[in-house]
Amino acid sequence: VIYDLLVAPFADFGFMKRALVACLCLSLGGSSIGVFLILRRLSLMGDALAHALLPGAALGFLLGGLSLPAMSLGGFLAGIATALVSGAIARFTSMREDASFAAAYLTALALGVLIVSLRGSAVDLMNILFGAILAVDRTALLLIAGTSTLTLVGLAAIYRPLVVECFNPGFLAAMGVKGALYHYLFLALAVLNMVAAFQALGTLMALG
Amino acid sequence: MLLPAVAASFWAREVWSMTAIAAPMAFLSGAIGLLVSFHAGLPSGPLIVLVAQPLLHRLVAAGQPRLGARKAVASGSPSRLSSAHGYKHAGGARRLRVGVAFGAVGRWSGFCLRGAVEDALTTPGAPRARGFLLAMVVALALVQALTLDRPARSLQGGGAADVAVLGRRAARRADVRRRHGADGGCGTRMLVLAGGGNLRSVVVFFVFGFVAYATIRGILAPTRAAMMAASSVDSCPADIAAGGGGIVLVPALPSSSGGRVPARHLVGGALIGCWCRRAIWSRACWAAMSSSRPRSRASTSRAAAAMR
Repeated sequence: VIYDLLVAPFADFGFMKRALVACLCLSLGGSSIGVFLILRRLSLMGDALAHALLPGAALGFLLGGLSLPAMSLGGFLAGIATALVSGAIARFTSMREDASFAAAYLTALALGVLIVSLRGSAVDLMNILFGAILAVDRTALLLIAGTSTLTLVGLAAIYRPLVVECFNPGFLAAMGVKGALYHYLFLALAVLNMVAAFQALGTLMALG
Repeated sequence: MLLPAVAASFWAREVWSMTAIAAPMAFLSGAIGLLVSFHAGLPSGPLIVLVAQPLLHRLVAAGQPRLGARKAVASGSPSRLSSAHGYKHAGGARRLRVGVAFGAVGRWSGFCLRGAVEDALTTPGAPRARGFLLAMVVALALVQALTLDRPARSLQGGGAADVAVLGRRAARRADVRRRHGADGGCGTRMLVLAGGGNLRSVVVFFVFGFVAYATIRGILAPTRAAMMAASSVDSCPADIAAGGGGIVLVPALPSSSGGRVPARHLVGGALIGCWCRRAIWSRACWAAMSSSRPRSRASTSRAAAAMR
């Protein structure tokens, strides 16, 4: 009975197997990113960032159909662009970064839904918004696994400056290290993870 | 990505340990979410997040230093739980009474195998270990007294001893033992603690369950069969009672090696021993009934098949 309940679904069905492996990869890469998101008080901003993937993914969908690489690339670019643009807005105007992120992500979400509904059906929209971990195929799995590998290696590389940046940015600055660089590297990794999680959980819940 | 990290932040003080906790937690919620969605036919993505959510809440609750509340839950635990159990099994007021009484005595005397082992290793005088041994002696004597007119088949029939030796096959025949209140309270207490959000007790509970399952029909089943065979002695019941009782009684005697032992441990142990008589007796009957079928061999081969 226990076997039927716990093991059989994974042993009998390929899609369940792939979903489990995807889960493992995502949890390895994503949770470490999540830890830093919390430490840096970026939890809500990360959420906004995840939503901001949508227009990019939608553009990829528009150009390449329901192909994962196109949508992922689009999502990644859109996420990076959002992070940079809202950072720039915060720097050059009196708006604070969280507010600018909120503004950017609302715009992005609206834009994304609009673009998807230009061509796709409601099913496509649901797929992009909420993802489908059971539909993870070989390409997606490779993408996810590659992402988590890259994330772990990248985090290991920037671990020390990042931790110091979290707890004592003044010290880091005094050491003559550019904290902003590591901040943006970390944001890039976060966006990368969200793109990977996007297939599994969709843009709305990628941060979960 | 975020939910397990939030949960982990209540458990860890350092960045690396937080990550180390968050990753398996994320995987666990993912796997549970997948399974639930598979069996219930629901969309998996939302389910994974929803599974992570209560996990988060439980862990947050357990991670908070609300010691007072948790202590209250723990201290009320065995009696409340066993009374609830008796109530559910609708055996009537009698079972309820037995459950409540046993729970109260167990609570009062700190009757617990783990505690007994801990005492024996660390505390001079080993009060809880004494109480446990005394309970075993009383149970042994009483059960053997029951079988005086019949040839006792083995030490097994009266042996709380090998129960202790086998590392407390708690879940084995758990219904019988719990209904008669012979459970030392560890399992039930863990259940209550787990309900209060104690992660450690959840882990211990699962380990208990897995070990028990393995002992009954899994990888440990051959060992169990071998131990049962080894502890079966064909001899007169009075011999067994005297010999076994003597062996156990010597360390159980309160004055043997100094150190004051609070009376509640001994009285509680004796009382629990009386209760165990019934439980072990029914357990022995059950074992005698089931061993007329070639059950152990079947379960062994099933275990072998499962391993293959």
